[in-house]
Amino acid sequence: MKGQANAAQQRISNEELFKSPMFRATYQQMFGRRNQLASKVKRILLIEDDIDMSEVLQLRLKKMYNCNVDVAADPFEAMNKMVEGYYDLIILDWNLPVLNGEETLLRADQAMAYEPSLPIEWDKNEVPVVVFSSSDKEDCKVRKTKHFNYVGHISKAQPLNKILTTIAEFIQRKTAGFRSI
Amino acid sequence: MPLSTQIPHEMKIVYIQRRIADLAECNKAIESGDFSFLEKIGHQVKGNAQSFGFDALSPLGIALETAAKSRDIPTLRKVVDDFTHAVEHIQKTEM
Repeated sequence: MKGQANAAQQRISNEELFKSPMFRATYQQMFGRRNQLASKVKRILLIEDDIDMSEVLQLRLKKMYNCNVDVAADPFEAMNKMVEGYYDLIILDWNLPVLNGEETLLRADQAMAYEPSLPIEWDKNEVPVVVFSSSDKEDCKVRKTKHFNYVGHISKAQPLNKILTTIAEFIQRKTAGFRSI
Repeated sequence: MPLSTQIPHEMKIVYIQRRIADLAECNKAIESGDFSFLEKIGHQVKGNAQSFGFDALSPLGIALETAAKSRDIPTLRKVVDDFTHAVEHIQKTEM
């Protein structure tokens, strides 16, 4: 009984805290920027054949940015998704089945050139591509193509919070306009 | 660590269950000489173990990938054995 009363009391004090102006101001300071960024990135395509990695990244990116995160497990699924819709950011695994990361983008670029129903946004913008791989950065360079612009590399072999922080930096740079690194 | 970057416990359990299934397939792959499968599993574990907080598995992934590339069957057997023990240890201590 006493425990239940304490829990109820704790809930009331939490509600008071959430409503307090100081809490709201602090929350806005902490998460306001992220929400601003989130509004600029509506759709992310994650091309990744490692189901463990794609599940956890999809879950976390959706929660962090409240955006759509589509997953393609192989290059051909990725090409189909790209032809069907535009993406604000592509996170590309390097070692994919059949094709590597660069071959995937080159094939997609060629396929899109002959696709009559391609969404118009693809003609207006280059989509920033972040390579996400456990291979070395030097081994994962992507040539610039008509539709894609390589903007950087993220190593898979690091804790999730570091991976998410680096993705957040790329999203932040997208809002200011990307430049290749 | 902020809540949004933590890995849910259920996902960690699924991760370990998938590795157990992988290990069974790895033993079959050693017998059949399917080195590309072993290389793929090693490469994936090298990449994703740290993200899930299982740092101890990462060097085993590297060792598996390297041994598969050089088609070194005795080393592959040892690495898969070590991998099995490491997964069992995680199951006992963290699950």
